[in-house]
This record gives sequence, C-alpha cells and structure tokens, in this order.
Amino acid sequence: MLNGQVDAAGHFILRQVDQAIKGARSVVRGDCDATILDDEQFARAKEIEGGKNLRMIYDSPALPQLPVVVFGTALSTEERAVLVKVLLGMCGSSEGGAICKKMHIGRFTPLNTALFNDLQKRYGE
Amino acid sequence: MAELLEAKLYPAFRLILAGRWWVIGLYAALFCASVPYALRVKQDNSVDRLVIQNDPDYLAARDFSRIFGGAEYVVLFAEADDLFAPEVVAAFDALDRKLQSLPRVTSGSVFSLYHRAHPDADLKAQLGEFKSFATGTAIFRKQGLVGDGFLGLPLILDIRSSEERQQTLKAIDDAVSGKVKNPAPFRAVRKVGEPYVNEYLNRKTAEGGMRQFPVFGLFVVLLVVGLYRSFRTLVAFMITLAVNVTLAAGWIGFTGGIFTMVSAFVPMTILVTCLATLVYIHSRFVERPPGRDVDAHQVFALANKFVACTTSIFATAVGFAALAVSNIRPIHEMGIWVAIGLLFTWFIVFTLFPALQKVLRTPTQVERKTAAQWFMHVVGWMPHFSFRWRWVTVPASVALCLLGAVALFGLPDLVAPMRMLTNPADYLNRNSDLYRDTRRVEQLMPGLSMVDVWLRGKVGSLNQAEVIRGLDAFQSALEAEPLVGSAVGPTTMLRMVRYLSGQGDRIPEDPGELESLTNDLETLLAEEPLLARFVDAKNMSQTHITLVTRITDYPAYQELGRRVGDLWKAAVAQHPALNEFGTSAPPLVGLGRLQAKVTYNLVPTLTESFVLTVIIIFSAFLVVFRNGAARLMAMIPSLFAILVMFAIMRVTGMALNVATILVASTILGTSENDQIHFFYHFLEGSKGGTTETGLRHTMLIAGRSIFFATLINATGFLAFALTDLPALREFAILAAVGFTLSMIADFTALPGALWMVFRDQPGAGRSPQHAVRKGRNNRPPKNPGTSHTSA
Repeated sequence: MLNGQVDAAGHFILRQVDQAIKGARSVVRGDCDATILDDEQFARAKEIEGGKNLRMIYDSPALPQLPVVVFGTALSTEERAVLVKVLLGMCGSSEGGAICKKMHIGRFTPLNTALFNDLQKRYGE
Repeated sequence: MAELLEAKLYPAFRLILAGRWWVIGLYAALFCASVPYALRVKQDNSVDRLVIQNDPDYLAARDFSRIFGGAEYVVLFAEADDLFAPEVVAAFDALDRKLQSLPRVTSGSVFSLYHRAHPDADLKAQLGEFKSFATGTAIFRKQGLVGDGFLGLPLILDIRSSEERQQTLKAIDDAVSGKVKNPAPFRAVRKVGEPYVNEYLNRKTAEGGMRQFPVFGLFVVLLVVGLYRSFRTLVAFMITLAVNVTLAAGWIGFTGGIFTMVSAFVPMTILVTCLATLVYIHSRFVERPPGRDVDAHQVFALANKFVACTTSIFATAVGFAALAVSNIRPIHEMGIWVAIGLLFTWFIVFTLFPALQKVLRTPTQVERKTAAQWFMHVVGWMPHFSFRWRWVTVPASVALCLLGAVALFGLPDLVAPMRMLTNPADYLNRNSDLYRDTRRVEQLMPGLSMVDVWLRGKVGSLNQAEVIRGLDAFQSALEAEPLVGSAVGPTTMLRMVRYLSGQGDRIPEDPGELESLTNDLETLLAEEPLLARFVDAKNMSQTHITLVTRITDYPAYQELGRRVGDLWKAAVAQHPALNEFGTSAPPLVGLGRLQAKVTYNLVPTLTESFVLTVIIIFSAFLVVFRNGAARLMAMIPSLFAILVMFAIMRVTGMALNVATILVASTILGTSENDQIHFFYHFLEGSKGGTTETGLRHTMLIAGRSIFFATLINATGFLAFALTDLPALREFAILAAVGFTLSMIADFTALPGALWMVFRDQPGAGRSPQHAVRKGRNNRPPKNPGTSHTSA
C-alpha cells in the first residue's frame, strides 16, 4: 500500500531482485517502470550511466536501518546489553573497524524504538 | 651574399666580446636555473610511452585501463619432474604465500584458488585431493596455471608508477631469489612479464648513461688537448658543452619530459653537434696569420664560420624536428628535443664560447702549433687522387648505394625487405636471465602476448542471463580460433567459481540455474578481485575477454581483429541477447598490440621523416648556395653512408627496431654539417679559380675539421656500444660506421663527382667561365683576406 491508498501489487507486476542496484539498472534500461531503493541506494543509482534521469515517484515514511536481531532466548538481558555496548563501539576501534569494513557496515547505532513502534502500527505485528 | 652578411656580423661579434662578462653571467644564471629541471627528468620505457598521446589505439588502451584497472602482470614458472610430489607442492605453496603477502601483489595461482575454496586445507595431508582439484578442469591448463612439467604463478601488480613497479619487482625478486639460485625441489624457477622488460630497459638505459657520458667526456679531453694542446681551450670547450646539455635537459625537465630508451641519444646528439661546431669555429680561430690582431681575427673567424655553422645547425635541427611527424612517441619527442637543444647550441656557440675564448685567452697557432700537421699532405694529395680515381669512386659509390637500397627495401621475388624486430624480448640482452626465461616460457605457454576483446553494451547488460550464455559461447569460439592460444573472460571466472564450489566447470544449461548464477555475479564482484577486473561493476555494461596469443606483429593482430569480428557476428546470430553489445566487430585493445603497431609503423615513419629531412636539408643548401643540381651532389656522402649502412645491417644480421630506425635520420642530420662546410669553403675558394683551387681551399679550411668532427661524432656515438641493450649497441655501431663512411665519401666520391660535373681537371685553369655556365656562384671575393689561410 502506497500511502495507505494505492495497492502497488494492483498497479504493477512485482518482481523480486536480490540486488537493489540491479533494480535501478532495470529502470534505466527500460525493463521496468520503478524499483524500491533506500536513500543510499538511490544515491548510488544516480551514479550509474543514465542514472541522473532517475526520479523519485514515492517517498515512504522513514524506515529503520537494518537491525541486528537476536532470535529466541539464547542471550540473557545482561548479555544482550554487553553485546549492544560492544557493537556500538566496534566500528570505531581499529580491529573492529576492519571487520566492519569487510562487512560493508559504516557503524552500529542504538535502536530507534519509536520508529519500530511506528512501523509495527503501520504494517501490523 | 655570404661576404655581405659576414661584414654585417662584425659589429655584433665585437659587441659580444666587449660584453663577455655579461654573457658569461647570463649563462651562469641560466645554467643554475636549469640544473633542478634537468635532474627532474626520469626514465620510463613502458609500452604506453611509445605512442603519441592522441593515438586512437593509445586512447582506447587508456580508457580500457580506467574501466578495468591498470594492473600489470608477471608470471613465475616453476618447472619440476613431478608437479605433485609433496616437496614440490610444499615449496610452491610456500612461495605463493610469501608472494601474496607482498603489498600491491595478488596471486592467481591454482594454490591460492584452492586455499580460497578450502581455507583450512592442509596441502600435505590433502595431496590427492589437491591434485584432483588442479587437474580436474581444463580451465587451469588453458590459463597456464598447471602444464606439462610446470606450475604457473600469475601475479597481478597494482602499480601506478615506475617507482611502485621498481619497489614491487624488487620485493618479488627478494622473495624468490633463493629459489631462482637454488631451485630444488624444482628444476628451474623463471620470471617473465612486461614489467620485468620495462624495468630491465629502464635500469640498463640509466646504467648505460652512467658509462657513456664519462667516456664521451674523456674523449673530449683527449681530443681538445691533443688537437689544440691547450688546457684553457679545454676549459672553454667543457664549459660550453656542459651549459648546452644542461640547458637542453633543463628544458626537457621543465616541459615534463620523460626519457625512454632512445632518448639517451638526445643529449649525445646535442653534445656531438655542439662539439663538432666548436671544432669548426675554434679551428678557424687558431689559424690566425702572424701579425693579425687576436681580437680582429676572432671576430673574423666567428663571422666567417657563421653562415656554414648556422646553416648546418639549423638544417640538423629542422631535420630532427621532422621526426615530429612520427606517431611513435620517443621518436617524436626525440626530434623535438634535439631541435630545441640545437637551437640552444646555436646561441651558445656564437655567444658563450667566444666570450670564454676571450676571457680564457685561448691560444692560436701563432702561440702554439696545433696537431695533425700531416693533414697538409692530404690537402696536397686529395685533388689529384679524387680526379684520377673519379671513374672508380663515383660509380662504386652509386653501386654500393643501390646495394644498400636493395638491402632495405628488397627486390620483388628475389630479396625480402629488411626484417623488423617485433618481439619485445628482442630488446633484451641475449645473455640475460630475463631473455632466457622469456624464450623458455614462450615454448611452454600458448603465447606471451595478451590482447583484449572489449565489449561495450547497455547498462545492466551483464545482469542478463542470456547475455552470459552468449558470452560464454563467444569465448569458446575464440578459444577454438587457431590464432588464439587461450581466452579468459568473465564466464571463465564464473565457471571457476562453480568449479570451486564443486558444481563443475561449465555454465549451466538450465535457465533457472543460469539466472541464479547471473544474479550471483554482482555479489561475486565484491569477493573475487580477479572477476572485478573483467566487469564494469558500476554499470554492468562492459566486459572484456583476454586473448593469449603468440602474435607479435601488427598484420597478424589485424587478421585476428577480422576473425574476432566474424566470430562475434556468428555469436550474435546464435545468441540474439548479445545484440546489447552491437553487431559490429568489437575492438581489440592492449599494450602488446600497441607495441606491434608501433613496430609496424617504424618503416613508414623512417621514410616519412627521412624524406622530410632530405627536403629540408636540400632546401637549406639551395637557400645558402643558390644552386640545386651541383649542390645535390653535396648529399652524396650522406646518402652513400646511409644506404651502405643498411647493406652492412643486412650482412651482419641486424634488424630494424625502435633505435636502429633512427640511424638514417641521425647520419643525415649529423653528416650534412660536413658537406655544408665543405661546399661553403669550396665556393669560397673557387671564386675566380678552378675546381682544383676550390678543393684545395676546402681541404685547407674545412678538411681537418671534417676529419675531427667525424672522429667526434663516431666516437661519441660509439660510447653507446658499451650498453647491454642490443638495440642501442647496434645503433651506436651503425652510426659510427655511417659517419666514417660519410667522411670517406667527402674526400673521395664527392670531389670525384665535382670533377665530373664541372668537366674540369687539375692544372687546367679553365673552370671559371665553365663554372658560370654550370651555374656556380662565382662572384669575385670582395674581401680576399677573409679566405686567407696560413696553414
């Protein structure tokens, strides 16, 4: 649902792509009409040949960044707190920074609970 | 005209002598300013420096390397009887790991691929498994990673400058030097690749310069002291030469020039021309008649030699400037640099040198007799000798010239044209390890030349599964082509990735599987540095297929281009998805092809610049001497020397290459100086006289200088014979031989031809009127004293 009013699946034939930038290239090539990108991906898409002509047709409400999720009860609350603390400082250290770089992660930030709550309200549990 | 000009020059030279300290001060300042720029000039023999920067193939190669990275490649080969013996595998694995740890070095060996697929593998324990892996696919064999009795270790070097190349190759050499010296358990360890060739040429050219210029300096000392017997004269010569070469090198550094293999000739050509001109000027100066004031005689000597020296320097300069038409960059740049350097020479020899002569009070023959008084016998003997043997010397010269022309251009169906060096290894010393390794590896591998088929499609073309299938089919077709040894492209990498993950080494037939593999391509680009070198990751629109071939000559590359075009058309017809890349033949790019093109263009370049040089020099003769037909004969010695030199090349098995190709222009540009001086004084001496008086006067005034100038030129260039580089050594020997031949013709065939043209004979006393009818410049001298000689 776009803006809670338009059903994308009703207006478009939806296809899954495993690379966001591949979707952007498909738009440039004329193979499809639109693709879903986040801000960073959109900026990268602008850099490809012909990418300057890409324009935004719909801007969704803010979405949280990729979260780190712990499934189940493997970690205690204390352990979770320790993990969060370590991750938040990880990309700033020399050893951890190298790992972050390898994983293409800029930095870890604290969870934006309000944004997640909003998302839960919008898309359900 | 010459006398009028001479008279007008007197005040100018008086002014220079009066302001001698100002002149010296000015040059001292220019010298100091030039030194830092001269030291800035570096050496680089990379192939991409062989062509001028607006050459379309050069631009294509540059654009190509911007997209796919400008890495250089070297390959190490280890030969062994049993490639999979435990000690061989362990030693090669250790070598591979050592090299991989070096900065800017990536290994593409079968060992590093195995470790990537099995990070915790212990090769000692998994020998059988490793052997199956290494021999289980044809991909490794085709790429030369595993062969009959050898293992290949390709190294990708991420280098951006000569310094980085030097450091990286040194690090590699340090890492493998132990195994090169004591190869056990291997039979031999060899290193090959273009970076090694470039580095070798840079090092040897620089080392050669360190040896040649001291030899040349020593020669200057011996010549000046031996000829003029004066330390003060030596100082004047040395300062003049040092200032000239420093200003020229400073100019090259100021304009951002970089020396290549043939650039070593630039300072040498300037030095020998400058030194020869100084000998002409100073020899005239030392011939001071007793009783004439030194200052007055110095001004006379400078004015008397001005026209001939100016003509010869400018003819040489413009002759070298004609090399600028070449699209071979070192030759193009050498032409311009020598021309500018000679412009400096002209200013310096008529300003700084006279000032130094005056300040240092260099002696004339009145104070100190010069050497080579024996030359007076030659003066007396030459006119008669040249007349007596004219019907031998002139036809023999013509016959030898024709022989030389046949040696160069060949005869249809009888003699093939002179061969050209097309293989980069031919520029190496035959006794060097690099030469031996390169020749050996050429036997082992399907070729050492690489050329890329560049495919440019639309954005996202490489995200299309059917495009990947089509590219794989096209690559297979290329591999089957007899001109191609092996082909490596993006699908090779995909096949290798599948092989590493145990899925076989083929592109899947199943559309779903292929779609999945195509989707993986983008992810693999970030993980596989080798794959990233084959794909334009941002747009996924461009790729290339690298062909390894034995081709080294341009016509074969052109034929390959046509075959690639045909195969592409067939591939597009079979796989319409490839239409994304267009239907026209994809371009071939690569430095090997560029080098072959350079070689292919050598002869047209030689011919073009040589014809221009001939026209320019002949025009200079016409302007100065105002007579075409008779002055054309003045070119006989140069043409004789050049053509006979080609005959010598043919007989001794020397080939045309980027250095020897310059011999003709160098001999013409340098030896015509002698002919200009010869003719200038011949006309001066034959005014109101005969051919005999003209020849005697010429030999008296210019003969000895021609002899010594030739000695200078020949020995100066012969200093390059000390180099380890065969191409430079051959050039040096040929130039020295050419200069000597030209001098021999100056004293035999040229006067013989003059006797024939003027139908004159010794003691006939009949020439003046006859000469006028033949168009000779025969006006009476206005100032008979100017042609006086006391010798």
